[in-house]
Amino acid sequence: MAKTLAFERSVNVDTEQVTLKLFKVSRGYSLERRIIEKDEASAVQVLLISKLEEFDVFANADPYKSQIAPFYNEIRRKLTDDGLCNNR
Amino acid sequence: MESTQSEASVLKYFDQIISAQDESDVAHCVRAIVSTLGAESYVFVSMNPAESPESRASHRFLIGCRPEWCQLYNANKWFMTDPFLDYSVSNTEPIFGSQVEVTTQGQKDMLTSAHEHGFRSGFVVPVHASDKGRIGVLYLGSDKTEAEGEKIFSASRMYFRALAVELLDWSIRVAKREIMESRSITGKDLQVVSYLKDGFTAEDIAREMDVSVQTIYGNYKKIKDKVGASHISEVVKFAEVNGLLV
Repeated sequence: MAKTLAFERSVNVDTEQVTLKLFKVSRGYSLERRIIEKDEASAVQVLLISKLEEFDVFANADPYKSQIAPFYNEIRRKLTDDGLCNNR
Repeated sequence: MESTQSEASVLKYFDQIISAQDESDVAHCVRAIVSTLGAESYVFVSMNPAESPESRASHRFLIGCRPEWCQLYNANKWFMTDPFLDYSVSNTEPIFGSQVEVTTQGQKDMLTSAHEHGFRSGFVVPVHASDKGRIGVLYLGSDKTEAEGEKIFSASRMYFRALAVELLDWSIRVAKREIMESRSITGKDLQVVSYLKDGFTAEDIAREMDVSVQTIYGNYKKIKDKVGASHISEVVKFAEVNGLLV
């Protein structure tokens, strides 16, 4: 299957832009967390999610969790709606 | 590696990386290879120091370790001072975690945290692409002691180096494909740009491609529109920066 975008949201925090993108991929879901700095340097973390627990650990460790908690909540809802659970 | 069966299994996963549909396929194969070879965690970082607003991210991390470690690493911006990344910019020889020279408190903090998050022993494999500036770094980790872990890494050094090369090649292919798709750039467009890069005039290109000069000027306009450039020389620059002509 082709990689398809299931969710995308961005927010500016101080001088940085934080973007979360959720993709449906051949083996579950892929979460991209992109930080773009003021000088346009960027860092993208790519987390493959096969269990909800992996997503929860990643989300809970996010230093911007308080600013982007609604995004993580929405993504989590999508994952659970799709039947993703901790023992999969 | 302990058996011929394990070796066959590793080689099978290498083949699958080449035909992987997306990063989940790649991550699945890397996880299988890394586990078979005795490591427990990995992170693959692709870097493009020649960053521009139009190009790929300066650091892209494929996470195969405890997710919280990657958040800590980014939150502390350790990629700015990571001694392994510094080493990788100008070296291609793999290095054990115990071999790296640590000079700052930030670097010490990073290593302490790494030890606590699945990288008690580590092996770092730099890889460089043929086009200037693109670098990959494969971090491998284990909760075993440095002596035990490094013995395991050393035994499979050849496979880990091959894995780093495949991952960098894959990331370059994906980056090129995504840019071409997002801007509807075709193979024919790149052929024209490639001729331009080699110093061909519109007349030369028309002759090579067996079309009229007017057709080539038409191609110039279409490509400029796709890239958002005002001059065709900017298109050549765009293609070079983004590795489209490799």
